[in-house]
Amino acid sequence: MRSDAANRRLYQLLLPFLLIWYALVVTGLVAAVSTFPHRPIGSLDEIPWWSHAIAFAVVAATWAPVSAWLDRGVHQLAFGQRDNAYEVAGHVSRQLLPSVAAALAGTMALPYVEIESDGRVVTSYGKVPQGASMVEIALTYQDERLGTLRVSARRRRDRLSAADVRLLEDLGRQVAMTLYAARSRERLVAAREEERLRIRRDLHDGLGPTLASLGLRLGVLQRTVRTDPAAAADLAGELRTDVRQATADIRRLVYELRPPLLDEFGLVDALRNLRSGDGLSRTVSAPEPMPVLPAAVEVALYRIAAEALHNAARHASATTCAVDVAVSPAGVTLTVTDDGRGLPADYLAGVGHRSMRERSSELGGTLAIDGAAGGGTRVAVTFALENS
Amino acid sequence: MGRMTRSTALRIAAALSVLVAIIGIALFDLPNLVLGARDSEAPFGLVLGSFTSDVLALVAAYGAWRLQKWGAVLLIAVNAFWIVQAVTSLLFDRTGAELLFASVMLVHHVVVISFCLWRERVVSAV
Repeated sequence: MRSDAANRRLYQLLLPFLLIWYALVVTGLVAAVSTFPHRPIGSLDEIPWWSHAIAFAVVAATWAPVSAWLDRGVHQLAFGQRDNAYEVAGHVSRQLLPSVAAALAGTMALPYVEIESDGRVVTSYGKVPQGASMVEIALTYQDERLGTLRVSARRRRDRLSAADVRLLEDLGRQVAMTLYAARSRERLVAAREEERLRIRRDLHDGLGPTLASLGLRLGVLQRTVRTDPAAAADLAGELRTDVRQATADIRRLVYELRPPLLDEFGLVDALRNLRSGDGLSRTVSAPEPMPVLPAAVEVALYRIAAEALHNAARHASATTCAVDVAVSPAGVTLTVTDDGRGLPADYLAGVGHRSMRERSSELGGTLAIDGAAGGGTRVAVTFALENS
Repeated sequence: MGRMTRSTALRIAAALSVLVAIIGIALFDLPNLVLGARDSEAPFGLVLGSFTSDVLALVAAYGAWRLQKWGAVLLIAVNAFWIVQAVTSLLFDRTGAELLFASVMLVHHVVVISFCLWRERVVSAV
């Protein structure tokens, strides 16, 4: 990457320059102070030797904080806002979509292009000629309506040709993918930050006070164990309950980060041991031996399978389910097929389906939810594998 | 780091530099350039150097105002040069007014460089 090399060079040049410059400026300032009673001086030779010694001491004493501050500042200047995830995600959508709108206007010689999403104009390019008609193209990706592409005709009282509209519909698919990518990135970053906040909250508000309280009460126990053994025994019982609670909290926290079954048994046995909440019987088929998958893909497959089984048991009144994991050099596919009543005609995606879709799109996978061959519902998710 | 955004810090740095550059051009560079090399009150090389640095500062301020990286880098370079001038002035100039002006400029240049290297508060891990 050319810009990366340029940024690195800027960082490598600017930081030493500023550090040397800092040392010289301190030397000059100390010299100005030390020669103040005799100022102005005629030449640099009049600066006493001890002024340089003091300057050296000042630079040495302040070197660590100043160099760290300069390092952070120059790094920020050279490499931008890489540390700030929200900022980076925001930049992507802010810069990507305007470029797409401009490219569309440029290549099709359209005077006005507008991309709207969630009821607001995300970006627009150019001006609508007075009296020109507007054409609206729906932006959809994976059956989800993401927004609208609006373009104006080229001249007054003019309309776009059918060929233009067909081309715009084709290009609209690319625009929808860009919009989807920008949205996904923002959602992904937001989800990660929310997850971090939740873990911090759980540790700070839950486990922290519990452990602090345990420490205090252990002190009381230590003091009363000889003088009042009965009260000490009661207190020890309470402490035991609290320790169990804290242990359960830690287990819950760990489970939410990554289901322990995946580490203990591997993906296939974890899928066999999944509880759907009632007596839904299932068969699990997978390659033997199961290849090692990326940890994030394993978690996504496990969570999607759990959601699909839950839906089959709760909403589709299914009695049996088939879970199939297929691995090819190109990717891994999980298919969950149930024998329930299938998707209703007026089916609308609920929270569970959206969650499955988000989990798959976070890792660049594709998810399909449709009717199974013999009735029931089929959920299929595919993730590409990096070595393909 | 502070709550001020990086873009605000860069724009303040740009505005401060424009102010100083215009003062320099109006009060020092142009009068001496008009007088010419022979009649100039200050060494003409110094006048030319000062004028060049002031023009560079204006260009850098434009870039910094547009939040361009090159603008911030150029602004740092010009202000680093100006600080050397201010320290030299503190050492060699004679009058109290010159001393006061050099001190104020020194603070100004340090502030501008700090704003160019401003780092926003970072959203970090737990």
